[in-house]
Amino acid sequence: MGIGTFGSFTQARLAIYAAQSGLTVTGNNISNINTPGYTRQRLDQESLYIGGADRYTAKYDLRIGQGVLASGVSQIRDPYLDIRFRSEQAKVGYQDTKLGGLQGIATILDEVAKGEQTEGEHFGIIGAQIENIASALERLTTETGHQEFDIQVRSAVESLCQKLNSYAAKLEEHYNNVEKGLVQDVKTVNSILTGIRDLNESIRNSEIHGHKALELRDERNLLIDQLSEYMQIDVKYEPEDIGGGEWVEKCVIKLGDANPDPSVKTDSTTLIDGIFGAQISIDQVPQKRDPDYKDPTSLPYLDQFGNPTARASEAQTTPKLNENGEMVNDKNEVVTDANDALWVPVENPDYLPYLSADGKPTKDPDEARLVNNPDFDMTVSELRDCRDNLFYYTSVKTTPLTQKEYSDAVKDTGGTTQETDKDTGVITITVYGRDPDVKDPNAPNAYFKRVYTKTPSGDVHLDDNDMIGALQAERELLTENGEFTDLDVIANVDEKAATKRGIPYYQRSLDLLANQIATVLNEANQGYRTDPDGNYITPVVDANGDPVMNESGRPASALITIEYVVRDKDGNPVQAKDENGNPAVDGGGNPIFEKAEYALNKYVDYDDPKVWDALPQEVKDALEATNQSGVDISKSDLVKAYLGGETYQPDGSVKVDEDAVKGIFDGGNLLSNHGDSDDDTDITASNISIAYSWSKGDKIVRSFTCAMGEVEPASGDSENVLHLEGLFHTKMDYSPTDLTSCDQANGDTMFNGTFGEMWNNIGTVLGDDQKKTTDLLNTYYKTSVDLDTQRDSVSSVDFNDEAMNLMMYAKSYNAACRLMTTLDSVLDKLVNGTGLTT
Amino acid sequence: MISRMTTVGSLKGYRYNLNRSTYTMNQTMNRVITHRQFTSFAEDPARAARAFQLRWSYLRTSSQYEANDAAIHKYDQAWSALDSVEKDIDTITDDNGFMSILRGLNGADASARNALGQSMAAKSKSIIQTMNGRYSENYIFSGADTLHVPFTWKPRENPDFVAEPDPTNPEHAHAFQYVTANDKLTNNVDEAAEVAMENKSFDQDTTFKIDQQIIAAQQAYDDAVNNQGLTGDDLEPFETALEEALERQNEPEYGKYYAAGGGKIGDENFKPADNPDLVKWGPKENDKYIEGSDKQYVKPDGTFTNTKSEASEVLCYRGIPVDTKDPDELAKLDYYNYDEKKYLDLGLGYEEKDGKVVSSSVFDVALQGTYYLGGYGTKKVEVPVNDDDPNGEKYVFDIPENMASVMNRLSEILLACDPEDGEFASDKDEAEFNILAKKFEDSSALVKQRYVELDTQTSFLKDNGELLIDNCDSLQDQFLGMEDVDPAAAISDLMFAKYCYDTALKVGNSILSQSLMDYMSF
Repeated sequence: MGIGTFGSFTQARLAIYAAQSGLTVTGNNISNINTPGYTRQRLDQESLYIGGADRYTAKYDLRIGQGVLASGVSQIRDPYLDIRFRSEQAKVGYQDTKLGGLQGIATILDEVAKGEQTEGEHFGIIGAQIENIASALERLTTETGHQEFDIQVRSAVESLCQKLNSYAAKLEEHYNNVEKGLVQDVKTVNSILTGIRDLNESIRNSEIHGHKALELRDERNLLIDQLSEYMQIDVKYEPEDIGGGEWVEKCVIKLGDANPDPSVKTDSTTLIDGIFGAQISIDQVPQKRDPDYKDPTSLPYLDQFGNPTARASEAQTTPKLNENGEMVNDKNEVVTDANDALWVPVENPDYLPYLSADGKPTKDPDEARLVNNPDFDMTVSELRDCRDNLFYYTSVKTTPLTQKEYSDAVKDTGGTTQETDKDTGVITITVYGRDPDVKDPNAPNAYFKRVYTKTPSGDVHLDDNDMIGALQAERELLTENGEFTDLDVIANVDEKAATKRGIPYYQRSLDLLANQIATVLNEANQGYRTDPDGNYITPVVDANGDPVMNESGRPASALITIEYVVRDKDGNPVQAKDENGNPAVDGGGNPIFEKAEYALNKYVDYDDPKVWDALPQEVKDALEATNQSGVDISKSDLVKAYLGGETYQPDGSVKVDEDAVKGIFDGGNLLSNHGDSDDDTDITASNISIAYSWSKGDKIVRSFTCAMGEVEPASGDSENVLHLEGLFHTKMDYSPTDLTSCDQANGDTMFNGTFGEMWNNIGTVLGDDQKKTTDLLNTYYKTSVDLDTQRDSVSSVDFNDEAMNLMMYAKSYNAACRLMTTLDSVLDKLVNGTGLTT
Repeated sequence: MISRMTTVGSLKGYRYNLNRSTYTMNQTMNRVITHRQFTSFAEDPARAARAFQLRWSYLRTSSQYEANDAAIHKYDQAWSALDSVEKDIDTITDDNGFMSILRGLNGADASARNALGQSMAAKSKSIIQTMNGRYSENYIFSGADTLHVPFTWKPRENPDFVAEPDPTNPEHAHAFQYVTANDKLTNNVDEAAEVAMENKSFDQDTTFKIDQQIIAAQQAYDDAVNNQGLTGDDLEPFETALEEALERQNEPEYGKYYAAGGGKIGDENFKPADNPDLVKWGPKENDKYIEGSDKQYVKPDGTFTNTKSEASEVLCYRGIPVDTKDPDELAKLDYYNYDEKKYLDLGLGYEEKDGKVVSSSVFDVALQGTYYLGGYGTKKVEVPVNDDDPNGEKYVFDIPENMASVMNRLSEILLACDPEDGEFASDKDEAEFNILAKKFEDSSALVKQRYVELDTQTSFLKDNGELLIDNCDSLQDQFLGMEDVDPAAAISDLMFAKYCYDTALKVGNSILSQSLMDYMSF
């Protein structure tokens, strides 16, 4: 059937309507050209065709379209570009945040173009101060014995300590700021997740009512774009059956499978499932105490002497026991042989590991104050909708039944059952039914049993590398220790952890430098005085214990020797001879054995097996007699014990016999962990201080070498001062395990160099990391901008396009109007002018 | 397909590129303002690290230069001191009196010996005063003992002196002259036990031989008189032989006891208790007694005194007499002179090995005074008492090595000369003077040699100082070359960046102003 008489008017009317709609859509596009996230819209038009066939048709019937229908408005987006852009955004977010964190560190540690105006500028601060100390020591070598030059050295060292303290405090402040930033970003992410969830609900409702909700989708896309900066995500749109044959679109957002470990599945955790959304949180743990050697309850282990210690490496070890008191190996399997067991450090029974809310030590983790997990581990919560209903993952399993089985089941259950597991919350719904597709009721699969298992969504603890994005960058800034990482973290958590460096790495590096400076200087400034050949000496005293003076009018000295009984090759003592060459006996007729002396030499490394083996057995016996603990003690420590009148007791304690102290000990610690003590344990950049004794005026030891017969070095002898100065230009090994807090790290040397070179290395590592991050950020950002431009090429509004649309729809509108005018004219002729005769 | 470039996309791209352009311009502007190629490690980590290394090397070298400079000043002062010493020596050696004595002239010239002695004493004091000079509160010539004066004059102590002898102290035994009847030590002769005076030089064999000789001579004489009836000239040989044999009783080794009427008793089997009248009795003397142990000081002539001003003066280096013969003291002086060091790091490549500094990598600034004054210790010299009998009796002298000590001893001898005629106090003094005069010349030559040696070391320090300055300059050039921008390049870069930025702004203006909308007309 052809078009009716007035059908053409409808055609024109539809055309006018479509053109007008087109102008409205174009106007909307132009209006929103600056609206963030706006996706350009397009009028969907369809050619109207009335379908069906006439009962009686002729071969020559014409079937002409009846105009245009404006069927809807749609957005123009390319999902693939969205995926690529958001993936790139995660990398941009990661590198941008990381760079921000590194720049914060650089503000503190990067000394390029910094420094005082002395001797020109830009000599740096810490580095120049290290060199200043060496210069002060150089001056002291020429002016040895004059206290003002000793004070100059002390002032220079004090200045270095204060600068290290200040840098450590600033790094701590930076750490706290980044931590606050992470907490804030987690809140932002949660806000975004909530926003997306709520928008999903609004869009869903609109769709159910037949609206596309394009502007809401724009808003959602904008939020998803924002979310992609914080973490890598995978966005999918799935159809959702809402019943009654109706389907709506469901937006599902999961973590973006970022973990390189394929066995890890938590990196695909669902964040948004339609109208359900999760929240993320930083795990909370009881607050742990820092070790304090003045307080034994803060030290977790017991060392070989039963003294509390913070270092696991110093602790006694014992086979690990299970709850039944049986020995177990590293796989928790019971073993009977101690050699097969896992040996663990012995714990200090008095250890109070936590701090309560009021700041008091406690053993009970439930009483402890909760703080962010030091590893900043994160958890994705269960999925809930805006009415707080829990999301269930549903699985369906269908089993065919015979008619009898079906009948029995229906008889027992009424056709449907529902059970809820109290422990897990899993709901199981069983439905019995007839398969309508199977015609034969006696067929084995004519009936079925369908089990719906609804598992409630729950908390998911994320793995260390499940995210890429700003959050992960902040986590890494707060947790990555680089070379200071515990070996078990590298083995079990992140095999690349040793190459990732966050704020803790730079804190530990600074600590290591401070610790090395303190250790080396303290060690060099104490020891026993020796004669020019390096033999230990002791003052000569008369019968009254008063010092005997030598010809120079100063106290005289004698060498420290071990006197021992000479033995023959069979180990039997050799009897001495009297003046007549007969075996010597004492007044009681007892044999007098031949004795010899062995001088202990300060410059000998007794830990060297060759040196030790070459000692007379009697000397070795005398030295080893100082160790009654049954525990291995280094040979050099045995010599020190002998000289110090110390004996390692069977219970592990050290007994000091003041009368047995040999030699003249000189010097002491120059640096300590607190200005009011000489304690040199656990010195870090934040606590390094001038030792109390030094601050009160005790001098740097100028030399340990005394002229023969003397007990004091020459007044201007600067041998040790020169040695101290030399230490500032001596390359030495830096190992992470030198720090108590890192004694579980890899003990290999991480750097070899002077103090200045170590400081330089910190700056270089930071600079390299910054440069690498900047390069990557530039690359990712450029790619991100390119992708965004490509997205814009698809989705954004262009004036030229819209101008063309304006012209096009305007022309269409005009043409439709013209069509109507033409039709009117034609009909007017037909109605008013046809068949009329005059 | 050409991608669709939209207005929004163009604006975003423009914004990104404009930002880059601004960033570049800011970077170039910073370079011009700071004159540096980089202002953070991140801009060029390798260069920044290298530049810091060079800067710290510069600081270290500056510090070494400072130490080198201080050492130069110390050596300059030491050089001045030795120069003064050398002039003092020259004054003495050019002195007419000194030369006259050396030429063996007496008479009028000889009378000037006292004056020369005084002059020499004053010069030796002056030299020591010079050698005790300080630089910056540190004694120059005291080796590593820079806070203590190196040379001191002390009265020559009697090593056997005991201030308050204690008879119960075995170490004081030599201070008591007598022994009591109870074997106790005493200096009171009245408390001493009375004993037959024994000849301490008694030698049994010699006595026996002399006695045999006397007996034989007596028998021969008796035989000649009684049996042969010889008289007069014939008897004279027998008389002479007997007299000669009896004369030998005066030999020190002869006789165990002194006889009451003089002479000695040769019979070895003689017991004084049996014939108390035959022997001379006296207080029992302490074998260990050393004469003069009650006197604290030794006088120039070797006798003892308790008057400090009369004592001979001895020069001490760091408390030890420079002319000591004590092996322990000599060992210590050996250590001071050859093994004691005071090293400075003057940029010679400081290095330690086995905990000890490698000597070639540092510079020793411990100047030992004894080394520069000819040495220490003494040399034993023997000269015949009679020049005509070189194998006869000899004088034995311990001639000091140290020049100031030599001068001091020379002055003591000269001051002991007769003030009237200038005669030496003794032949021994004259002999010692002659040896000392020769030693003085040798020591003077050695001092001059050491003076030249010091001069060489000073020159080395000065050369080293120049080298260190050159190093500083070179290091400064290196790190500035590494850090500083080339002004022409930096300004050109800035101008170009500015040009690009301006152009970018102009482009932006065009982007915003042009579209089809502007040309539409309805």
